[in-house]
Amino acid sequence: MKYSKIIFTIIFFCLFVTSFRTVAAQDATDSSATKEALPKRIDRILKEKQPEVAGALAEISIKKRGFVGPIERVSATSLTIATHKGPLVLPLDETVKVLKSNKEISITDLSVDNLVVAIGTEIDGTFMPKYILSSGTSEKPKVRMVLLGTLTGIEKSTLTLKTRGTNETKEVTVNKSTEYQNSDGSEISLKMLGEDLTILVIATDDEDGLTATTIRSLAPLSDPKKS
Amino acid sequence: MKKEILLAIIIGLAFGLFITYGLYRVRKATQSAKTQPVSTTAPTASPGNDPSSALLTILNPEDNTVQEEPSTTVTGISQPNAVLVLFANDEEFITTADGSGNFSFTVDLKSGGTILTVHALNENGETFAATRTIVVSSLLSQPAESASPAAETK
Repeated sequence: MKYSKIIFTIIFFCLFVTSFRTVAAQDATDSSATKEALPKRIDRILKEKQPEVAGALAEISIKKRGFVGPIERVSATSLTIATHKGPLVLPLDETVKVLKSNKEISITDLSVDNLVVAIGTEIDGTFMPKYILSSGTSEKPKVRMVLLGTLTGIEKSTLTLKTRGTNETKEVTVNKSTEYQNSDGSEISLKMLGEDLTILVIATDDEDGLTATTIRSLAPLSDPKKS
Repeated sequence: MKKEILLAIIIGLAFGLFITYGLYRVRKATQSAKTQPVSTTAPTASPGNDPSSALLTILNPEDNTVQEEPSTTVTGISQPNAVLVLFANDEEFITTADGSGNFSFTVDLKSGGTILTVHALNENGETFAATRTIVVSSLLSQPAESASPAAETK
Protein backbone atom coordinates (compact mmCIF):
# COMPACT_ATOMS: atom_id res chain seq x y z
CA MET A 1 0.00 0.00 0.00
CA LYS A 2 2.88 2.28 0.85
CA TYR A 3 4.47 1.62 -2.56
CA SER A 4 1.27 2.32 -4.36
CA LYS A 5 0.92 5.69 -2.60
CA ILE A 6 4.49 6.67 -3.44
CA ILE A 7 4.11 5.61 -7.08
CA PHE A 8 0.77 7.44 -7.29
CA THR A 9 2.34 10.67 -6.01
CA ILE A 10 5.40 10.43 -8.29
CA ILE A 11 3.32 9.73 -11.41
CA PHE A 12 0.91 12.52 -10.59
CA PHE A 13 3.74 15.00 -10.08
CA CYS A 14 5.57 13.93 -13.26
CA LEU A 15 2.45 14.20 -15.39
CA PHE A 16 1.60 17.63 -14.02
CA VAL A 17 5.11 19.04 -14.52
CA THR A 18 5.44 17.55 -18.01
CA SER A 19 2.15 18.93 -19.25
CA PHE A 20 2.83 22.37 -17.76
CA ARG A 21 6.28 22.54 -19.36
CA THR A 22 4.87 21.51 -22.72
CA VAL A 23 2.36 24.36 -22.66
CA ALA A 24 4.93 26.84 -21.39
CA ALA A 25 7.29 25.85 -24.20
CA GLN A 26 4.52 26.26 -26.78
CA ASP A 27 3.67 29.72 -25.43
CA ALA A 28 7.32 30.71 -25.41
CA THR A 29 7.61 29.72 -29.08
CA ASP A 30 4.49 31.72 -29.96
CA SER A 31 5.70 34.66 -27.94
CA SER A 32 9.15 34.75 -29.55
CA ALA A 33 7.61 34.44 -33.02
CA THR A 34 5.26 37.33 -32.23
CA LYS A 35 8.13 39.41 -30.88
CA GLU A 36 10.08 38.88 -34.10
CA ALA A 37 7.10 39.67 -36.36
CA LEU A 38 5.87 42.68 -34.43
CA PRO A 39 8.64 45.19 -35.30
CA LYS A 40 8.31 44.25 -38.97
CA ARG A 41 4.57 44.82 -38.84
CA ILE A 42 5.02 48.14 -37.07
CA ASP A 43 7.55 49.27 -39.68
CA ARG A 44 5.26 48.26 -42.52
CA ILE A 45 2.22 50.02 -41.04
CA LEU A 46 4.28 53.13 -40.29
CA LYS A 47 5.49 53.27 -43.89
CA GLU A 48 1.97 52.76 -45.23
CA LYS A 49 0.39 55.36 -42.98
CA GLN A 50 3.16 57.97 -43.10
CA PRO A 51 1.67 60.20 -45.84
CA GLU A 52 -1.78 59.95 -44.29
CA VAL A 53 -0.52 60.85 -40.82
CA ALA A 54 1.64 63.69 -42.13
CA GLY A 55 -1.33 65.16 -44.02
CA ALA A 56 -3.62 64.87 -41.06
CA LEU A 57 -1.07 66.44 -38.74
CA ALA A 58 -0.57 69.37 -41.11
CA GLU A 59 -4.32 69.81 -41.35
CA ILE A 60 -4.70 69.75 -37.59
CA SER A 61 -1.95 72.25 -36.91
CA ILE A 62 -2.68 74.67 -39.79
CA LYS A 63 -6.25 75.58 -40.67
CA LYS A 64 -7.68 78.19 -43.01
CA ARG A 65 -9.84 80.52 -41.00
CA GLY A 66 -12.07 83.51 -41.72
CA PHE A 67 -13.74 86.02 -39.42
CA VAL A 68 -16.46 88.51 -40.26
CA GLY A 69 -17.52 91.61 -38.36
CA PRO A 70 -17.41 95.37 -38.06
CA ILE A 71 -14.19 97.09 -37.01
CA GLU A 72 -14.17 98.07 -33.34
CA ARG A 73 -10.70 99.59 -33.23
CA VAL A 74 -7.93 100.16 -35.76
CA SER A 75 -4.30 101.17 -35.39
CA ALA A 76 -1.10 100.80 -37.43
CA THR A 77 -0.26 97.55 -35.69
CA SER A 78 -3.59 95.95 -34.89
CA LEU A 79 -7.21 95.65 -35.88
CA THR A 80 -10.08 94.68 -33.58
CA ILE A 81 -13.13 93.04 -35.14
CA ALA A 82 -16.43 92.48 -33.35
CA THR A 83 -17.18 88.87 -34.27
CA HIS A 84 -20.30 86.99 -33.22
CA LYS A 85 -18.24 85.38 -30.45
CA GLY A 86 -16.72 88.64 -29.20
CA PRO A 87 -13.88 90.99 -30.09
CA LEU A 88 -10.93 89.57 -32.02
CA VAL A 89 -7.61 91.45 -32.03
CA LEU A 90 -5.59 90.90 -35.19
CA PRO A 91 -1.90 91.78 -35.42
CA LEU A 92 -1.02 93.72 -38.57
CA ASP A 93 2.31 93.91 -40.37
CA GLU A 94 3.57 94.43 -43.93
CA THR A 95 2.64 90.84 -44.89
CA VAL A 96 -1.08 91.45 -44.29
CA LYS A 97 -2.83 92.73 -47.42
CA VAL A 98 -5.84 95.02 -47.09
CA LEU A 99 -8.17 94.84 -50.08
CA LYS A 100 -11.20 96.87 -51.10
CA SER A 101 -13.07 96.54 -54.40
CA ASN A 102 -10.25 94.76 -56.25
CA LYS A 103 -7.57 97.16 -55.05
CA GLU A 104 -5.00 97.02 -52.32
CA ILE A 105 -5.51 99.82 -49.84
CA SER A 106 -3.71 101.06 -46.76
CA ILE A 107 -4.71 100.12 -43.26
CA THR A 108 -5.30 103.83 -42.63
CA ASP A 109 -8.16 103.69 -45.15
CA LEU A 110 -10.10 101.47 -42.76
CA SER A 111 -12.37 103.09 -40.24
CA VAL A 112 -14.41 102.01 -37.25
CA ASP A 113 -17.71 100.22 -38.09
CA ASN A 114 -16.49 99.16 -41.56
CA LEU A 115 -17.59 95.59 -42.18
CA VAL A 116 -14.51 93.45 -42.87
CA VAL A 117 -13.59 89.84 -43.53
CA ALA A 118 -10.26 88.64 -42.14
CA ILE A 119 -8.77 85.57 -43.83
CA GLY A 120 -5.69 83.76 -42.65
CA THR A 121 -4.39 80.64 -41.00
CA GLU A 122 -4.78 79.30 -37.53
CA ILE A 123 -1.66 77.63 -36.19
CA ASP A 124 -1.95 75.91 -32.83
CA GLY A 125 -5.00 77.97 -31.96
CA THR A 126 -3.49 81.35 -32.94
CA PHE A 127 -5.04 83.16 -35.90
CA MET A 128 -2.64 84.98 -38.21
CA PRO A 129 -4.40 87.19 -40.79
CA LYS A 130 -3.17 87.29 -44.38
CA TYR A 131 -5.92 89.33 -46.00
CA ILE A 132 -8.34 91.93 -44.69
CA LEU A 133 -11.23 92.40 -47.12
CA SER A 134 -13.16 95.60 -46.63
CA SER A 135 -16.62 96.15 -48.04
CA GLY A 136 -16.40 99.87 -47.37
CA THR A 137 -19.87 99.82 -45.86
CA SER A 138 -20.87 100.33 -42.27
CA GLU A 139 -24.36 98.94 -42.62
CA LYS A 140 -25.41 97.12 -39.49
CA PRO A 141 -27.12 93.79 -40.07
CA LYS A 142 -30.85 93.75 -39.47
CA VAL A 143 -32.07 92.31 -36.19
CA ARG A 144 -34.16 89.27 -37.06
CA MET A 145 -36.80 87.70 -34.83
CA VAL A 146 -38.52 84.33 -35.01
CA LEU A 147 -41.81 84.01 -33.14
CA LEU A 148 -44.21 81.14 -32.64
CA GLY A 149 -47.72 81.77 -31.39
CA THR A 150 -51.43 82.04 -31.96
CA LEU A 151 -53.07 84.72 -34.07
CA THR A 152 -55.41 86.77 -31.91
CA GLY A 153 -56.11 89.69 -34.25
CA ILE A 154 -55.93 90.39 -37.97
CA GLU A 155 -56.05 93.86 -39.43
CA LYS A 156 -55.07 95.23 -42.80
CA SER A 157 -51.50 96.08 -41.86
CA THR A 158 -51.12 94.55 -38.41
CA LEU A 159 -51.33 91.10 -36.93
CA THR A 160 -51.61 90.46 -33.22
CA LEU A 161 -49.88 87.39 -31.92
CA LYS A 162 -49.90 85.67 -28.54
CA THR A 163 -46.52 84.02 -28.24
CA ARG A 164 -46.32 80.42 -27.14
CA GLY A 165 -44.59 79.82 -23.85
CA THR A 166 -44.20 83.43 -22.72
CA ASN A 167 -47.83 84.39 -23.57
CA GLU A 168 -46.76 87.87 -24.63
CA THR A 169 -48.89 89.89 -26.99
CA LYS A 170 -46.92 91.12 -30.01
CA GLU A 171 -48.05 93.39 -32.79
CA VAL A 172 -46.44 92.66 -36.12
CA THR A 173 -46.66 94.97 -39.11
CA VAL A 174 -47.32 93.37 -42.47
CA ASN A 175 -46.65 95.03 -45.81
CA LYS A 176 -46.39 94.21 -49.51
CA SER A 177 -43.10 92.42 -48.98
CA THR A 178 -44.55 90.05 -46.39
CA GLU A 179 -44.80 86.51 -47.69
CA TYR A 180 -47.58 84.22 -46.44
CA GLN A 181 -46.93 80.51 -46.52
CA ASN A 182 -48.91 77.34 -45.95
CA SER A 183 -47.42 74.65 -43.71
CA ASP A 184 -45.70 73.06 -46.72
CA GLY A 185 -44.10 76.34 -47.75
CA SER A 186 -46.44 77.07 -50.65
CA GLU A 187 -47.63 80.64 -51.02
CA ILE A 188 -51.05 81.63 -49.66
CA SER A 189 -52.85 84.92 -49.14
CA LEU A 190 -53.41 86.88 -45.95
CA LYS A 191 -57.13 86.19 -46.29
CA MET A 192 -56.54 82.50 -45.59
CA LEU A 193 -55.22 83.25 -42.13
CA GLY A 194 -57.74 83.16 -39.32
CA GLU A 195 -57.79 83.81 -35.60
CA ASP A 196 -56.59 81.02 -33.28
CA LEU A 197 -54.27 79.77 -36.01
CA THR A 198 -50.78 78.76 -34.91
CA ILE A 199 -48.24 80.62 -36.99
CA LEU A 200 -44.53 81.13 -37.32
CA VAL A 201 -43.52 84.75 -37.81
CA ILE A 202 -40.14 85.86 -39.13
CA ALA A 203 -39.71 89.57 -38.66
CA THR A 204 -37.17 92.36 -38.56
CA ASP A 205 -36.97 94.37 -35.39
CA ASP A 206 -36.10 98.07 -35.65
CA GLU A 207 -37.20 101.42 -34.27
CA ASP A 208 -40.55 101.00 -36.04
CA GLY A 209 -41.19 97.72 -34.25
CA LEU A 210 -41.62 94.26 -35.72
CA THR A 211 -42.13 93.98 -39.47
CA ALA A 212 -42.96 90.53 -40.78
CA THR A 213 -41.02 89.19 -43.74
CA THR A 214 -42.57 85.71 -43.67
CA ILE A 215 -45.65 84.31 -41.94
CA ARG A 216 -46.15 80.56 -42.11
CA SER A 217 -49.15 78.61 -40.91
CA LEU A 218 -48.13 75.53 -38.95
CA ALA A 219 -51.44 73.84 -39.70
CA PRO A 220 -52.21 72.90 -43.32
CA LEU A 221 -54.73 75.31 -44.82
CA SER A 222 -56.92 74.62 -47.81
CA ASP A 223 -57.87 77.36 -50.24
CA PRO A 224 -61.66 77.84 -50.08
CA LYS A 225 -61.67 78.80 -53.78
CA LYS A 226 -60.12 75.49 -54.76
CA SER A 227 -62.35 73.29 -52.60
CA MET B 1 -1.52 -2.84 -7.78
CA LYS B 2 -1.78 -2.51 -11.57
CA LYS B 3 -5.27 -1.16 -11.25
CA GLU B 4 -4.09 1.48 -8.78
CA ILE B 5 -1.26 2.60 -11.10
CA LEU B 6 -3.62 2.82 -14.07
CA LEU B 7 -6.09 4.81 -12.03
CA ALA B 8 -3.32 7.13 -10.86
CA ILE B 9 -2.20 7.70 -14.46
CA ILE B 10 -5.74 8.49 -15.63
CA ILE B 11 -6.42 10.84 -12.74
CA GLY B 12 -3.01 12.48 -13.20
CA LEU B 13 -3.59 12.93 -16.92
CA ALA B 14 -7.06 14.38 -16.42
CA PHE B 15 -5.95 16.72 -13.68
CA GLY B 16 -2.87 17.79 -15.66
CA LEU B 17 -4.90 18.45 -18.76
CA PHE B 18 -7.47 20.42 -16.78
CA ILE B 19 -4.81 22.67 -15.27
CA THR B 20 -3.02 22.96 -18.63
CA TYR B 21 -6.20 24.03 -20.35
CA GLY B 22 -6.84 26.61 -17.62
CA LEU B 23 -3.32 28.02 -17.96
CA TYR B 24 -3.64 28.05 -21.75
CA ARG B 25 -6.85 30.08 -21.55
CA VAL B 26 -5.32 32.54 -19.07
CA ARG B 27 -2.26 33.04 -21.32
CA LYS B 28 -4.42 33.56 -24.39
CA ALA B 29 -6.59 36.09 -22.62
CA THR B 30 -3.64 38.14 -21.38
CA GLN B 31 -1.95 38.00 -24.81
CA SER B 32 -5.02 39.15 -26.72
CA ALA B 33 -5.43 42.02 -24.29
CA LYS B 34 -1.82 43.07 -24.92
CA THR B 35 -2.06 42.80 -28.73
CA GLN B 36 -5.35 44.72 -29.13
CA PRO B 37 -5.02 47.17 -32.08
CA VAL B 38 -4.35 50.72 -30.89
CA SER B 39 -6.25 53.52 -32.60
CA THR B 40 -3.87 55.87 -34.41
CA THR B 41 -6.42 58.63 -34.85
CA ALA B 42 -7.01 61.16 -32.14
CA PRO B 43 -10.52 61.18 -30.70
CA THR B 44 -12.56 64.00 -32.12
CA ALA B 45 -14.43 66.24 -29.74
CA SER B 46 -18.17 65.99 -30.11
CA PRO B 47 -19.78 69.28 -31.09
CA GLY B 48 -21.40 70.88 -28.10
CA ASN B 49 -21.15 69.70 -24.55
CA ASP B 50 -24.05 67.32 -24.68
CA PRO B 51 -25.78 67.05 -28.04
CA SER B 52 -28.55 64.87 -26.69
CA SER B 53 -29.67 67.51 -24.22
CA ALA B 54 -29.12 70.57 -26.39
CA LEU B 55 -32.03 72.02 -28.30
CA LEU B 56 -29.76 73.02 -31.13
CA THR B 57 -26.39 71.72 -32.26
CA ILE B 58 -24.88 72.65 -35.61
CA LEU B 59 -22.70 69.85 -36.96
CA ASN B 60 -21.70 71.49 -40.23
CA PRO B 61 -20.14 73.87 -41.22
CA GLU B 62 -17.44 74.43 -38.66
CA ASP B 63 -17.28 78.02 -37.43
CA ASN B 64 -14.94 80.38 -39.34
CA THR B 65 -14.52 77.99 -42.24
CA VAL B 66 -12.82 79.24 -45.40
CA GLN B 67 -13.79 77.40 -48.57
CA GLU B 68 -13.80 77.90 -52.32
CA GLU B 69 -17.13 76.21 -53.07
CA PRO B 70 -19.99 78.74 -53.37
CA SER B 71 -22.45 76.60 -51.41
CA THR B 72 -22.65 74.75 -48.14
CA THR B 73 -24.92 72.33 -46.35
CA VAL B 74 -25.90 73.32 -42.86
CA THR B 75 -26.69 70.24 -40.82
CA GLY B 76 -27.44 69.76 -37.18
CA ILE B 77 -29.50 68.21 -34.46
CA SER B 78 -32.42 69.77 -32.68
CA GLN B 79 -35.47 68.40 -30.91
CA PRO B 80 -37.77 66.09 -32.89
CA ASN B 81 -40.13 68.05 -35.16
CA ALA B 82 -38.71 71.41 -34.06
CA VAL B 83 -39.18 74.31 -36.48
CA LEU B 84 -35.87 75.66 -37.78
CA VAL B 85 -35.19 78.96 -39.47
CA LEU B 86 -31.86 79.74 -41.12
CA PHE B 87 -30.76 83.28 -41.90
CA ALA B 88 -28.02 83.61 -44.49
CA ASN B 89 -27.27 87.11 -45.73
CA ASP B 90 -30.71 88.55 -46.56
CA GLU B 91 -32.34 85.19 -47.18
CA GLU B 92 -34.34 83.04 -44.80
CA PHE B 93 -35.04 79.33 -45.01
CA ILE B 94 -37.57 77.33 -42.98
CA THR B 95 -37.56 73.60 -42.33
CA THR B 96 -38.71 71.08 -39.74
CA ALA B 97 -36.49 68.60 -37.95
CA ASP B 98 -37.28 64.93 -38.51
CA GLY B 99 -38.38 62.50 -35.83
CA SER B 100 -34.79 62.18 -34.60
CA GLY B 101 -34.20 65.93 -34.56
CA ASN B 102 -31.93 65.98 -37.62
CA PHE B 103 -32.17 68.88 -40.02
CA SER B 104 -30.38 70.10 -43.12
CA PHE B 105 -30.30 73.23 -45.31
CA THR B 106 -28.41 73.73 -48.55
CA VAL B 107 -27.39 77.35 -48.99
CA ASP B 108 -25.80 79.19 -51.89
CA LEU B 109 -23.06 81.52 -50.74
CA LYS B 110 -21.67 84.69 -52.21
CA SER B 111 -17.98 85.41 -52.40
CA GLY B 112 -16.79 86.88 -49.11
CA GLY B 113 -18.10 86.36 -45.62
CA THR B 114 -21.50 85.01 -44.66
CA ILE B 115 -22.98 84.77 -41.19
CA LEU B 116 -25.31 81.80 -40.87
CA THR B 117 -27.76 81.95 -37.97
CA VAL B 118 -30.04 79.04 -37.17
CA HIS B 119 -33.06 79.50 -34.87
CA ALA B 120 -34.79 76.45 -33.43
CA LEU B 121 -38.27 76.59 -31.89
CA ASN B 122 -39.75 73.69 -30.02
CA GLU B 123 -43.41 72.96 -29.25
CA ASN B 124 -43.27 75.07 -26.07
CA GLY B 125 -42.17 78.12 -28.02
CA GLU B 126 -38.65 78.02 -26.60
CA THR B 127 -36.14 79.49 -29.03
CA PHE B 128 -32.46 78.71 -29.34
CA ALA B 129 -30.04 80.19 -31.84
CA ALA B 130 -26.59 79.25 -33.09
CA THR B 131 -24.30 81.15 -35.44
CA ARG B 132 -21.56 80.09 -37.82
CA THR B 133 -19.31 82.24 -39.97
CA ILE B 134 -18.22 80.97 -43.36
CA VAL B 135 -15.97 82.67 -45.90
CA VAL B 136 -15.87 81.89 -49.60
CA SER B 137 -12.47 82.82 -50.98
CA SER B 138 -9.70 81.35 -53.08
CA LEU B 139 -7.06 83.81 -51.90
CA LEU B 140 -5.46 81.38 -49.48
CA SER B 141 -5.11 78.73 -52.18
CA GLN B 142 -3.09 81.01 -54.43
CA PRO B 143 0.66 81.58 -54.06
CA ALA B 144 1.30 84.85 -52.19
CA GLU B 145 2.96 86.52 -55.20
CA SER B 146 0.19 85.69 -57.66
CA ALA B 147 -2.74 86.39 -55.34
CA SER B 148 -4.60 89.14 -57.07
CA PRO B 149 -6.88 91.33 -55.03
CA ALA B 150 -10.04 90.00 -56.62
CA ALA B 151 -13.43 91.21 -55.54
CA GLU B 152 -13.93 89.06 -52.48
CA THR B 153 -16.09 91.31 -50.37
CA LYS B 154 -19.78 91.58 -50.81
